[in-house]
Amino acid sequence: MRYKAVTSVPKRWVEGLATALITLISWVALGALGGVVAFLLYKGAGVLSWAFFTDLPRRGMQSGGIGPALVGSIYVTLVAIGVGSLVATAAGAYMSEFATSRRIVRFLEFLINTLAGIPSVVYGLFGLALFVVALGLGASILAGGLTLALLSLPLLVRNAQEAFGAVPKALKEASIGLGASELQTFFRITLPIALPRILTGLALATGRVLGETAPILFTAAVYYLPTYPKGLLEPTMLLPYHLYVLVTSGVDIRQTYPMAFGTALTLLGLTLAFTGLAAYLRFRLKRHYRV
Amino acid sequence: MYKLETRAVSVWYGNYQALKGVSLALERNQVLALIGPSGCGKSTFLRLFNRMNDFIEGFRLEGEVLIDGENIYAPQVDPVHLRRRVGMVFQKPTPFPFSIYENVAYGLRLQNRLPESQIRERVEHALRQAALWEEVRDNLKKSALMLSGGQQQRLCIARALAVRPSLLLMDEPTSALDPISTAKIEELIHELRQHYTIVIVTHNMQQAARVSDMTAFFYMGQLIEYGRTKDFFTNPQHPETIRYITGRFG
Repeated sequence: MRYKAVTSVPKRWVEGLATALITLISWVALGALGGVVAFLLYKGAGVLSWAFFTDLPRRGMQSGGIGPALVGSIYVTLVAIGVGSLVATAAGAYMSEFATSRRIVRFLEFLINTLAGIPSVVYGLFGLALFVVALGLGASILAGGLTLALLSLPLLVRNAQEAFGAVPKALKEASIGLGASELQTFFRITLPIALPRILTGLALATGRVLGETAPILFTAAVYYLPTYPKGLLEPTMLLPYHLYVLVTSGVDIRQTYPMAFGTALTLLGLTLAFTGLAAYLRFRLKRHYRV
Repeated sequence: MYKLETRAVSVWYGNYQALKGVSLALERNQVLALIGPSGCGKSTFLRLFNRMNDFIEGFRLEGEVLIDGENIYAPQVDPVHLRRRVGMVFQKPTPFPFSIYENVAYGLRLQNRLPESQIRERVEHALRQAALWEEVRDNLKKSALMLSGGQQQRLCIARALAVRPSLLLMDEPTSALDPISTAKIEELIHELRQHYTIVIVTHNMQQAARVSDMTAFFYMGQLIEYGRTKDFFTNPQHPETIRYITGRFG
């Protein structure tokens, strides 16, 4: 025999056991995730209907729908991602393409990593102080959206920076070599090629922003409003906070439970939809550009 | 007047001196080959002529670099305008992820607005000059990434020619290509010489001997030997040159 078994029998036995254990643990984790979804479906699917999504909450939120909260959440998220994407794309472009000093970029990276570690409720407090009080926006869709934009900035900026950085340097050089200015190269080569990656990050951030509760508590959300939001400077009902209210502070909590599960299911569905969109964009990106 | 001239050019990257007092002149419509071992400064020298070194941190230059008698490092020179007069082809093909047509039109669209009919004319002309037209004429709307490596490199040459430069810089344009594609590019260089002045960096001495009129040998940042290609390879003067072209180092 030229090839002796290097691994002894007990060692192979240990290896087999370890593999089985790792497999088991990952299935338990995945099972728990599946369990959450199944549980929400079981409890909440019953109340889902077109009316549930469009109707106002009625009879002390025990019946009717979540229309204003759903619309409010969409508005606030639009403001957050709209503002956040513009600021983050500009900042990411600066850090990846235009900054002349490596030291400044490293300092900014440090700041952003620090920002990413701040608890979201602290962002809420900051939003209250800056947007609601100091800038006089009041508790409103605009104030809540801006607070959430701030919260999502670290994620979005790093994502944009990485997206621009992933565009091959050879292409940027080729463009410069053809007589393009740095700005022309950015808008004609770097940005279009980086765009799918940037959009992927935006979709992920959208999913996250939709579910954030703490930052909107003091900046946008109200307990109950019997109307749809009418303008950016109005406060609004919001899905995550509405869920909290339904579970903890309804008039008769047992009666609002099904509504709570329906709301949770809606939130989960929206978040999954945006995560799925991100996955789809990443798939498209891989197919179109091998960068 | 020479097409190209450098006068005592020295280049530093921070504390590292990449070129040491290089003086050289080249006539119009000639092909100049730059040879030498890796890190000898030949790529740095090539990139002086379209100021691509400007972006490297710590870049510093002494001496003069002249194109058509004009010092291109003079303060009033806009490097963006300079690069429109000087085409460049890189080591690896760098097609943009656009259509073949848009790749060639790229440089044209950067400048003053040309009518689309004129752009189409110049795209075709450039593709013909780069000996690619017959192969792609029916697929102009297809992605440039679908082309083979050799076709991509000829596309990059067409892209550079479309803006009508008078000087063409090539940085080891065939080192990533197979022998047949290499032969096509070399043939192309022969034809382009009628209209353009060409500077080509190459690691391949047979290639330098085949395509160039003049050859410059660089070693450790210095221009060791410069002369007519046919004399250069048959009767080299400097011992370092002899050792390099006989393959004893590098």
